[in-house]
Amino acid sequence: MLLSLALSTFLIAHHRQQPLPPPSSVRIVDVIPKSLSGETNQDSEPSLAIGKAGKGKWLAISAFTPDPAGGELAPLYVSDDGGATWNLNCVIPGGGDVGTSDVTIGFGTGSDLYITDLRGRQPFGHVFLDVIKLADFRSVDPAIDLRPGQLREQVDQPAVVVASTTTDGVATNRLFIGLNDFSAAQGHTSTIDFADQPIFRLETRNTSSQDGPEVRVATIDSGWTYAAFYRWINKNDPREDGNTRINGEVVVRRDNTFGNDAHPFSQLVGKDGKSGISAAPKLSVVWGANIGSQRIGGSLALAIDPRKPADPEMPNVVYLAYGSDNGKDSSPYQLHLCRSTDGGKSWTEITGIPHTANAVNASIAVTTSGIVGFLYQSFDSNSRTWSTYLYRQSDSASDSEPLLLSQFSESTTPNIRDPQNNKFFHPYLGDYAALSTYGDSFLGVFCAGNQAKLANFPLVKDLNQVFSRNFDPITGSMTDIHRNPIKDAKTNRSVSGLSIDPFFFRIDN
Amino acid sequence: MLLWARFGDSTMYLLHVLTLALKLSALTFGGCAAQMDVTDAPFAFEGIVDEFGGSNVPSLPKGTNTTATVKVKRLLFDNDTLSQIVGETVTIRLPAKTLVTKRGQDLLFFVSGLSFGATMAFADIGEKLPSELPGVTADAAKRVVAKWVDKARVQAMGSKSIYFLGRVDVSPSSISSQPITEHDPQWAVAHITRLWAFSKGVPKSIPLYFPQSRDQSWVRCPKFKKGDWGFWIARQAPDGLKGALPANVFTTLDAKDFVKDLDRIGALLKALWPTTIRKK
Repeated sequence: MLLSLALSTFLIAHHRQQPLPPPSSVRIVDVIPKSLSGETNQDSEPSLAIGKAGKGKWLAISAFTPDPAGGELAPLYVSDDGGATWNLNCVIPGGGDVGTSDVTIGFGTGSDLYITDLRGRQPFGHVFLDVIKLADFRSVDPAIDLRPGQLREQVDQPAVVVASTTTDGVATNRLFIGLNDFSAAQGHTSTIDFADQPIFRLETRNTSSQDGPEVRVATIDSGWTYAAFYRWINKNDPREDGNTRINGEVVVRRDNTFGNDAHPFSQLVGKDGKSGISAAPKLSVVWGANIGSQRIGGSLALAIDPRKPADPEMPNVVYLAYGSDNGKDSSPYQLHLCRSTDGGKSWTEITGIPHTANAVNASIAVTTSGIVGFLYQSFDSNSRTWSTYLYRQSDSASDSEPLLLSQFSESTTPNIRDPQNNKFFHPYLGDYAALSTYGDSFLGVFCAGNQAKLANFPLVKDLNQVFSRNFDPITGSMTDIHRNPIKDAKTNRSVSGLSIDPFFFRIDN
Repeated sequence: MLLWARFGDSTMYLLHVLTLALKLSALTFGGCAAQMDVTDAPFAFEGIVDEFGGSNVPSLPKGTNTTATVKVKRLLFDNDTLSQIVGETVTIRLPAKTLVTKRGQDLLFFVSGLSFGATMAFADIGEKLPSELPGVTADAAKRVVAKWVDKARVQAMGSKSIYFLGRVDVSPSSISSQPITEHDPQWAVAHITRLWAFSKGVPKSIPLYFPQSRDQSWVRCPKFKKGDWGFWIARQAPDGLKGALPANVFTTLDAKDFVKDLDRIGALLKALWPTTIRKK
């Protein structure tokens, strides 16, 4: 045990001595299909699900995309060829004028797909949570409500993780829906909704009257399941600019049996004797502040190294990413990546990762060979350019410069970034992006401006591999299905053909 | 808005709108009152059936008579994303009750989206015969269909709704809210001066709650400022949904429930005139 700890410490200290080799292949695909070439929506806030049963070929993506015809079934992007081509199927009930609100997805054991979302229409101000399922992710029939007649409301940012568990030899799906539930007593709002069992409150301590919106869960086949959330300890009064500074910490809890321990998520105990370890004790964010056109309010991600440790007494390594500033307006909001080698009891920050200041949408995942990937989107305030990076680190090597998947200037999306324009909404790119793995490959999705320029996709050699929708190869602007400039339907005047699209990517290490 | 600025007087404005409504009487509602179900559709086009039982999308198998391929002839709704599909052959998933029986039929298809990949498919909510659409030009046809939809919306309103012409005379005021969430509606209240009521129970000044937030959840809800005027369909929460707002307040959360377009206001007035119009 001591030897393993010493070895882990040594590896952490020396992990950046070698550069990682470049990826063996890179695929980046704008998932907007050809038949929707004329669309100019703000398709932000993506999530990704990978169907293991489909051997990495079955993929689904959700985003803030409306039914192109304006109906009340919001779309899901699906691919059964590994992401080369995508179909948009209108199957999610409760879509509004810009799709559903917060939506995430997860595959079950087969081709079944689970979806959690906040409905896109809020009758009389009520924000309803839906937990729904498609029997097959490629279906064009509407998803089925898993809790008919049980309306849950006034929750925020539901994020689903689906674990495959075995009961009496039968594989079943275990849902963990992390969410911020404002109906919780004593401000203990960080919550896990298991879909078919009573909810579980993660918060055990005093709060500012509530926690932050992000509640994330990660689990592995052994049953070890981690949950992380922003505990909001205090908040200042709103400032002159209307924003509010919030101070708190990131708390991590752990359960060893998929949340079925006698006292769920009680494996990690703080110094005060209460469940939950403070993984980031001095956290501070300004609620309401923006980075570029993107709002910030926290960013949180969890991932577990799937490799079994050489020492069976050692737990799997677990990673945590979060966003915070240092409590002063003069300091930038920054993303941090931490690692725990002792099952979440202690955390060490991995320092020296470039471009994490003024960055958002952290997501992490670990491949079967132990390469941790850290996806984030960073803003350069001088050029007003957003860059989407994937930083990789193995046991013995790391990227000295992260892979630059995409970059674009906010000025290329004038219709969407202009707050006076009815098209603009928050969040500009989304309050999250997604990174996952299949084998030793990283698969993910992020949202970005869609100007078709090679300079915007430095890892790409042929833009025709990126875009199935039509574009003008000279200007890089999107064009309609007849390859004509995109026009406003009412005025017939040409408009900017550039907008925000979801981009799927696959990086083979 | 220009007209309002020009007249600067509510009486003059109302006279103008009512005159407009009478002028629009040539564009009838096509005797469609019994078939208003299709007006729930968010999108519509006129098309020629190419193959009954046909399909161009993998997720809808051919030969089941539950699908058809249709060549789009003209659009009946404005839609930025789909504005260029005239001339395209699309797949239609047919409803249980359909007019589609054979190749070559010319029909009005009222649809929602279904599947979009290399080609596109729509879910057919219902069809109408082109003879029900007297508009000759595309714009005229769109106007007629828009009126069908507006009339259907008014007819579908329950007793918890009021509708009226009005004007925002005072800057709306914000209402503090808790908890802190990205989806905070940031409620505000606009006191709307009633210019003309078209339903029972419309007070002279209507406090109307609306979300100011530009969060994705609320961005498309109508937002009001001093000087705005138009036709409101204001709704009150049914008993089972009270709680998110003070009891008995009115809201206009659907973009379609606030009409500023003079032409459509005229059509609404015409639809309401015979039975329900009430003087100020």
